[in-house]
Amino acid sequence: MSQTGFGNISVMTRSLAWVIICFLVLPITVVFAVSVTDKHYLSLPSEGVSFQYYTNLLTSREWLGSIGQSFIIACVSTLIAGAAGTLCAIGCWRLSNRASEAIRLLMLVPIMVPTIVYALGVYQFWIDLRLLDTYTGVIIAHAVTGVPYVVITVSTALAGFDQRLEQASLNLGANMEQTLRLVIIPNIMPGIASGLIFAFIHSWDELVIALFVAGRGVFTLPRRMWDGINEHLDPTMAAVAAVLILLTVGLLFIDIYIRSRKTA
Amino acid sequence: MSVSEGHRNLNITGVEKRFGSFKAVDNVSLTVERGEFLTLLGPSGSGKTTLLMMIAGFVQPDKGSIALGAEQITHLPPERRDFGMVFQGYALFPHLSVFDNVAFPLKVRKKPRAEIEERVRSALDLVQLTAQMDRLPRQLSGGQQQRVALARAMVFTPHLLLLDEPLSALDKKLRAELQEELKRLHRKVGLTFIYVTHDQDEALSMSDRIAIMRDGQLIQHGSPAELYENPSTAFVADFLGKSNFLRGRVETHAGDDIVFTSGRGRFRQRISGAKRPPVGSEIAIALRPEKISIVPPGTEMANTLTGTVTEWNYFGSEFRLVVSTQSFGSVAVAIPTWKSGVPPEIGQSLTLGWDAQAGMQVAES
Repeated sequence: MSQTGFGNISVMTRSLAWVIICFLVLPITVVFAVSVTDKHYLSLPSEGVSFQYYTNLLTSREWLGSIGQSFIIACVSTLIAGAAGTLCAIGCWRLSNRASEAIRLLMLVPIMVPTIVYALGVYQFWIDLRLLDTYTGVIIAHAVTGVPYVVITVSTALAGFDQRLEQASLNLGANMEQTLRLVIIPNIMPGIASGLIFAFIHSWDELVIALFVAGRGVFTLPRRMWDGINEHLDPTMAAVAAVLILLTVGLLFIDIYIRSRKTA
Repeated sequence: MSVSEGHRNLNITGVEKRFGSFKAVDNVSLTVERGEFLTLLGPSGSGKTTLLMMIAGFVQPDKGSIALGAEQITHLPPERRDFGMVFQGYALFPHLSVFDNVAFPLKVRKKPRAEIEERVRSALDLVQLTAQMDRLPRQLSGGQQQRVALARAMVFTPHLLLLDEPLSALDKKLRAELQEELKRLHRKVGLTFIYVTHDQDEALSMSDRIAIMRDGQLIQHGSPAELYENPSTAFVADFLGKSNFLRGRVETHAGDDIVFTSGRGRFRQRISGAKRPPVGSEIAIALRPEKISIVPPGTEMANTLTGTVTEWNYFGSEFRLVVSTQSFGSVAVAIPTWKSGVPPEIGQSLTLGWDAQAGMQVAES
């Protein structure tokens, strides 16, 4: 779509678009205001602006510990989801028959099933496997639910991949492993990167599964925020939310940048 | 660049490939001599690309075998065949520089760095692209991309080179230039080239030998001159250059000639020996437009035919006319401009003449 195309859009359409954007985005901005409150509970600042809750966030063992835990869990589960999702998408693409279509659809189940149902299932299963309240348990659950994002973005990238490049690679003497590593993956890298970013964001702010399978030992950031709201309405939570929003927006911009570089 | 040792003939024996109920390649047997430039020529859907893909190893034949010298390669995977290939649209790796594209086949064979460097340079030198070594494929023109694809396909001294319509994406002038260059390269490296095209002019001007395919079958193969002068079927006569088809019934044999009739006309055609059709049979004679001349009325000649001009076009070096005749309907005639005297006019009546040796007997279909 070209930039000049916007010139033809009527004032009505444009106003409506802005209204919708405001409706979606403005509630989020409240968090920023609340995070600099000078009071002791979740509220808008009245007397003045205070950064005490940011200081609190950066000095609290609990909050920093949860951030660290969430980061480790998000990184590891993203790597697993990335590898599994990419290989699954490539496999389906190479087969491209009815069975592979079915598999691709099946891969989307984790985001189609309501999370709470899914989390309950994982919980039951994890009891038997003794994975409750362990890093491994949360990482596996997050990796599985992150796979669909990778499968979707990598499949999209593969749809635009010229199959003759694979043939050329084989013809030039590269085996399947070399073809995958030297030709296919570098050419679908923007799709893989997008998938990784989405899988990371998914794990980073996932609450429902964490509520079910994590307990005392593993306390992810969204879990701590949930407890914060339930128990003492600590405005530190708003500061955390503000940081999370900025981080997510940052990752999305990286994603947009990678995609635009591909089409350039 | 030297040609690899053990450079051998390629023997294709009775290969067949079906896609569902569609027979893409139907019982094709062909031997490709070492060092020759063989063109697979045919309209789209004739099976020529499928045959090439079978040689490359991307398509498995349902029946038949392919052998390189004495070695059976029918089921050898493509990466172990050592056949260079220039793909339609070139299939250059977009994320690698020109150098890395050409180095790819050597890198995957784990050659030492110094050897890779030297061989890539000499391959790029061969196609005159040393200066563009660090560019990405998308920064090159179509012709340059085509030359990178060639260098990449030849750098590992393959047993033979497969080319799938390598010039089809280029404009006419560049095409002619690259045709010359490909021929020069073929003479220089002495590698076997198997070239797929649907362009008959390209096939005629470049090949040592042409194999004509239609509906999955190999119709005829031979040198360009052989095929042009002695097409076995009406399809070959019409596909390789243009032909008029004179259909009639054999009336008598007269010396080396046969006499056949069509409409009110009687015509002579030189056919001797075993190919001579019996009296009373139907025959088809292919007659090239350029073998017909315009003669003054009443000229004594083996064959004369009168008609009126219904269409004419000027092509610089020649006039191409369509003459409507009683015996054969529309007849295409090509007259060198310098011989025609006055420009023709629509509706003008004239007499056409040709020798008894001018036509070629062809099988129908």
